[in-house]
Amino acid sequence: MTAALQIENLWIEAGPVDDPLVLVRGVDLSVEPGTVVGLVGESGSGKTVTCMSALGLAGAGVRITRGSVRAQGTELVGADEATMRRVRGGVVGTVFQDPLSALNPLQRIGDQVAEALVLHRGGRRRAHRERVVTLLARVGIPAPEQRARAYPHELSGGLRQRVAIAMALANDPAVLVADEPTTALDVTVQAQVLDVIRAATRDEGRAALIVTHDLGLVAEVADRVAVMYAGEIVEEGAVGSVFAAPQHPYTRGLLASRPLLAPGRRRLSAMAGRPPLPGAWPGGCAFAARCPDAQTACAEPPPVRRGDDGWSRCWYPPTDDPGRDPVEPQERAG
Amino acid sequence: MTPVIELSELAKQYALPGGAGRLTAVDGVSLSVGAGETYALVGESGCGKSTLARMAAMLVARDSGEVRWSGQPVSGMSRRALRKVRDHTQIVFQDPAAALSPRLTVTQAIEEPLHIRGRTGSRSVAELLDAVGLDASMGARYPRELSGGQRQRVVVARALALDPKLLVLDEPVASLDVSVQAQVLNLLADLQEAHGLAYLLIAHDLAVVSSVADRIGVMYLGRIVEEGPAEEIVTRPRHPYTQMLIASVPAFAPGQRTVRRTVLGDPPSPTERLAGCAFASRCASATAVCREEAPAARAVGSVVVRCHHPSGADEAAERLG
Repeated sequence: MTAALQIENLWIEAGPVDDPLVLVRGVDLSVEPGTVVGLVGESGSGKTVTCMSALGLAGAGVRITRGSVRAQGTELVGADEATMRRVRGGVVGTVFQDPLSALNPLQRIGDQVAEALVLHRGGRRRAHRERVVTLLARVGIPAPEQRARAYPHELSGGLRQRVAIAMALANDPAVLVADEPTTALDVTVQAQVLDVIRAATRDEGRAALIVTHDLGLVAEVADRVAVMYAGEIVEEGAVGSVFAAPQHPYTRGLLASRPLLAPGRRRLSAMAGRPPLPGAWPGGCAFAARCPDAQTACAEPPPVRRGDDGWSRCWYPPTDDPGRDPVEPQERAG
Repeated sequence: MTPVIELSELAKQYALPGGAGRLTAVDGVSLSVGAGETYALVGESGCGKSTLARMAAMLVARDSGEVRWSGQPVSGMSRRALRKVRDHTQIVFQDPAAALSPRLTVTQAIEEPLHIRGRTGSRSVAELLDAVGLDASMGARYPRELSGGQRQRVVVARALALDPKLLVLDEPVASLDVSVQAQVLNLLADLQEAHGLAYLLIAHDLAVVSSVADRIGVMYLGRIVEEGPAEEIVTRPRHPYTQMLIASVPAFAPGQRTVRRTVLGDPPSPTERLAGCAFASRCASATAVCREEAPAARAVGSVVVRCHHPSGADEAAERLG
């Protein structure tokens, strides 16, 4: 089966070509049809630049140096702008953190959703009026016929993000790519927007890649999770098994340091140090400096260890069952 | 014991530009924080929690109400006494990059409040840096050379320079990376224990709040709608809004996904004064009385709640009866 979105050995860098700053090194990530994948990491981990570059939306000077990105089989690395435009808003719908910057302040929201339809299906805006109202209703916008005539500034942050999701869903994309879709919203509104995203993906069998720093969001909507650290994916697996038995010490630390809603003051389990920024990544295992279990071997690039349903990049994963054989470290030279 | 700070019936309105009416940011809020205690104010954006924090730190003037410091009303205080109160109240903001001058080194930033007061502190810069877990060599650096977590530690060190009794913490970890948030929260807990500091914490993240607070006040449209011991608020929320906030916290366990279709709508605009309960428009259990009459504060068990139909009220009444 073709993956809805397939990223293979993706390398991304920025800055001068003769002295580049490596941002992403060898990311492999597959989003299968009907599967929601959460891509988790902290600032500087490369999670956002991975998804933005994959869609040709990274800023000037950010370039893919190796690897492949395929959306429903269409290669996007090196594709011309016409192909990218056909893919974005077509087979790939996109939602970003700040809905205000995704919407034109001078245009009624109904017209903006209609424009997404016109661009990919042709016809005039008014011909799509019915579908626009259906889309707005589907993302839970009350009184969609009236709201279609509203301007973005007349809507709350939560409603704006719903409009952005309606635009992303307009052409029934095979995969939804969302970058921090709830981060800019209030907590109660986050929960509402999560419900909308869940309905548009899991409940409809649509694939999604959700980039976030929030493991709680991943637990709520994702089937699989990929954890990024220092430009690499360090662990990938089914959400249930990664949360229940994280294989990489960074994943363990992230899960442990997030406070849970529970009664009573308590000390939090804090990870030492901080995530290294691009340009300051150590050789070998990038997490070794913060890892409570680091040993001499960790100065070398760790092997990828495959489990039943997932893998991690660590010399000393906690469950060393005989069924897991270390495989060769991936080629690292750029 | 006399609380460090007591706010009673504080109110603040802002005039909207162009005479477009008035916005009620804070509408009769009372609370108190004792030494060594953390009082957390939670609520959504626009609920007035940051305005209230600034009023407690005396950065925003109040329209009405009173602030008491160690039992003394500040309205009758001499300038000299007021200055002391200001020294004893320090505030830590959400974004440490904005709170530090890019032109001052860490040492200069920490010494600045002492220079302004023309005195020496009880602790050296090196001691203050050590107290917040930074190496003394950091003193020569500029903010741009520091990570977000390190900057926030510098802001805390600067706040400690004047030997405060109260720290107002306005979303102190919201801008930090997840793995760094826990470090800073633990640091704040250590400092509180070492110095008996009172904390007024403003936060939106109930999971964070539940792990650090002794008391929680839930704000909605300028009012505290529920207040009580943190454990009680977290385990037995009485106000439907508190229940909504708690239901919105991700379960964090993939097996326990909750469907929360009951969470509805956005808060009404603070520029309109509604008759009745401000939450009624989003409340699943609202009745006619909720739309007509503003609920008075009432005690249910150990919490105070402003709701006509708080959950658990019947059961408490039965026990009393």
